[in-house]
Amino acid sequence: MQPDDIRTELLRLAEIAATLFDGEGVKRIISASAMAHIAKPDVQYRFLSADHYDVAHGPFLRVKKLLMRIERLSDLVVNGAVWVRVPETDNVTVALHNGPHHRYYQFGTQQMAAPPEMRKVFETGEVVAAPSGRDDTHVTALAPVRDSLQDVVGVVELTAPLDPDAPAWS
Amino acid sequence: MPTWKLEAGNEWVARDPFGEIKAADRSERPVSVCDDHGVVLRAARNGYASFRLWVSGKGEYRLAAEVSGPLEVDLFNAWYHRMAGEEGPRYYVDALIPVEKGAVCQLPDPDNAIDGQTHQEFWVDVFVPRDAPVGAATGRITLNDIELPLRVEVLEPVIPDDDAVIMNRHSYGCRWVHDQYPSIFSGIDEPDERWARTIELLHHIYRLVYEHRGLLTNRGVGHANTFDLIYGPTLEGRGREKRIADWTWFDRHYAPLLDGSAFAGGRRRAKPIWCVATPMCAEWPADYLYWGQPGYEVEFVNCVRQFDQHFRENGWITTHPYFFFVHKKRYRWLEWDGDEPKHAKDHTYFLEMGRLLRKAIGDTPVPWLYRIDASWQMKKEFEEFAGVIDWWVCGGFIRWYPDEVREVIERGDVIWQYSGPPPITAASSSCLEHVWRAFGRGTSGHCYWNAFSSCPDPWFKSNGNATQLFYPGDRFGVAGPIPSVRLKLERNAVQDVNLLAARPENVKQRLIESVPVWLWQEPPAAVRELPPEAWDSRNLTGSQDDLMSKTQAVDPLWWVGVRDAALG
Repeated sequence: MQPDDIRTELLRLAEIAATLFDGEGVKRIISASAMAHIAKPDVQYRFLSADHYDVAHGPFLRVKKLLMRIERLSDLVVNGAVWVRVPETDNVTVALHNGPHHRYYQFGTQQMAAPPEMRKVFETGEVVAAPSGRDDTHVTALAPVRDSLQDVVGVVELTAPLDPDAPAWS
Repeated sequence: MPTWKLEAGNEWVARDPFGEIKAADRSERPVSVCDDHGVVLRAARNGYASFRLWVSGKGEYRLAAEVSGPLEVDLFNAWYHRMAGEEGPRYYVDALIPVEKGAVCQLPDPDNAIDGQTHQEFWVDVFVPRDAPVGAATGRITLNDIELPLRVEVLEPVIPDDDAVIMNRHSYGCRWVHDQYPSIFSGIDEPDERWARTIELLHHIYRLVYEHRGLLTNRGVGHANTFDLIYGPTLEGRGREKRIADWTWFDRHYAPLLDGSAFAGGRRRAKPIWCVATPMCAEWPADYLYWGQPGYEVEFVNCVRQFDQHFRENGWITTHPYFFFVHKKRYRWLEWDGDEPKHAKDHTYFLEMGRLLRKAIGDTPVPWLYRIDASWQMKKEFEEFAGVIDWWVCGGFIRWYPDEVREVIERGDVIWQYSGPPPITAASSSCLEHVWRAFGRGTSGHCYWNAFSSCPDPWFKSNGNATQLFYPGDRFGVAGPIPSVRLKLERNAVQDVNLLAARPENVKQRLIESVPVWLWQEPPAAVRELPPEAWDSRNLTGSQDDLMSKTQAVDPLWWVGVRDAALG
């Protein structure tokens, strides 16, 4: 399948995700204490935020399972992730993800600057396709996650690899 | 005419390419391996005795070693790994390149490319077969026309085949072999051929580890709970219909390890490998979409039962297949820590997985082990998981729990500790602390969490090579791995503790009191006062620093006393 066709398919899934994900549940995944450590990393003790990382089992599992179901709506190999803002920063952190194929996640990193396309989702609440580039190895669509006040509190990333042979260990 | 010189030294002291003793190896009580006549070694049977040689001079030379049969001698040229230093590059030996008989060497070594090199270090292994006659065996080392006599006192004791301490070298996946051994995979594009060569090379590495009295474990399942096809059988179906479909690649990879044929032809007696990692994880064979629901249990139990049956049908009832989780919640794939749980609330997952495993395998003759790598919650887990977990690989916090460890050992569980290997800059004998602590604590193994990862250039831009005990022999024309000094030192140490394990208990106890390597420590304040959920690298490190002053400096030749006690 051509990248454009893949993109169309992912945008379809992203529209579905935008309807189904409950931001109230997503907000409860990462514990407040864990998020506080991510927001204020300790320069001297660089593993501190990882030491204190914790999630709520119930919300995590519910969101993970929903993400799995959405991934399976397509015949493509699709892996999803749910990103949330790191408070008082312009950064995002991944609350959970499935599978080995991800556009943004670098193993072990606690947070990253929100890329422009993700910022657009947070700001506009629109489903957005990540821009294609010359060295792209993935096609990605992003969907907003709204809470009960209709604030966009998270972004669902749906990524399909152009080469599905990802190593289990990197 | 160049002036050549040949010197010999004990296995625990290295020198740099200018003849200077490695700073960390300097001892206040040097130990010579020579007497007035030449090199003298004492050696038990069914194992190795080793020493180092230094050649100094300039130009071409031949170095050879021989010993009277049935003993065998192996000669290795030591590579000087270059590391950047504030005052210029520093050089440390580690990788050992086999020297072919009759090979012509050069000083300075053009390949190692060290300005002003005057010395070249060699490693010598003398293998003494189990049935070698007791008494003196003679040999010699020759450097051009210089001869250094060698005498090996072959002793009565036979080093047992089974190791009292299993030194485990752990690795992750197999893509690294493609990177580290490009010549083996060059021009091979057909996937099946690449996987076949991957398995072949992995088996080669397994053999090298085995010959060095170690255990290679190779974890195929990654954090995303995926694995390459050689690590597990394929599945088909869903729900009640889910089953294992094809064993082809799994059997090709594991059968030779499980029946021991992979280890045939070496100096050690071949036997099935002690354990193998299985592909079971939170997301295999059962679909995690159904976790907590009947479908997960049905898929898990049916497929794991089938897995167990495959082992029984093939007669693979010696090796421990192990059930183990590698994921950590901080990497965001799952909501619980499968590896080193930090939060006690995650324990419910282990208990449930244990229940499913027992239901699946029932009363099987296959010696399954349910493993946990424990750290934060170690003390609580020893208690909560009694009768569920039966293999513990413990992080450094094990030092605080002597009584609990003793209880775990007494109830028959396997218990190891883990760490990283020491860097090549550390004292040569520093790696032996892990062997000693495992033995002294009464545990049965030590796991190096990573022994195969290489920095981009371990030869000329080494970062200390702390996660690398084996090197690709590619650049030296060796189609496979080559060993390291650290590997051989540990092998020799394992031989020693094997002999000690057969001695009366009071011999071991006397050594424990005299060897200046600590086994246990008092826990810091944070551990005594706070729950593990509140510990972190800040409140533990600060507390550890307070207690560091109680640690004694260890002479780099501290193992000499252990060796003497082992050989008697």
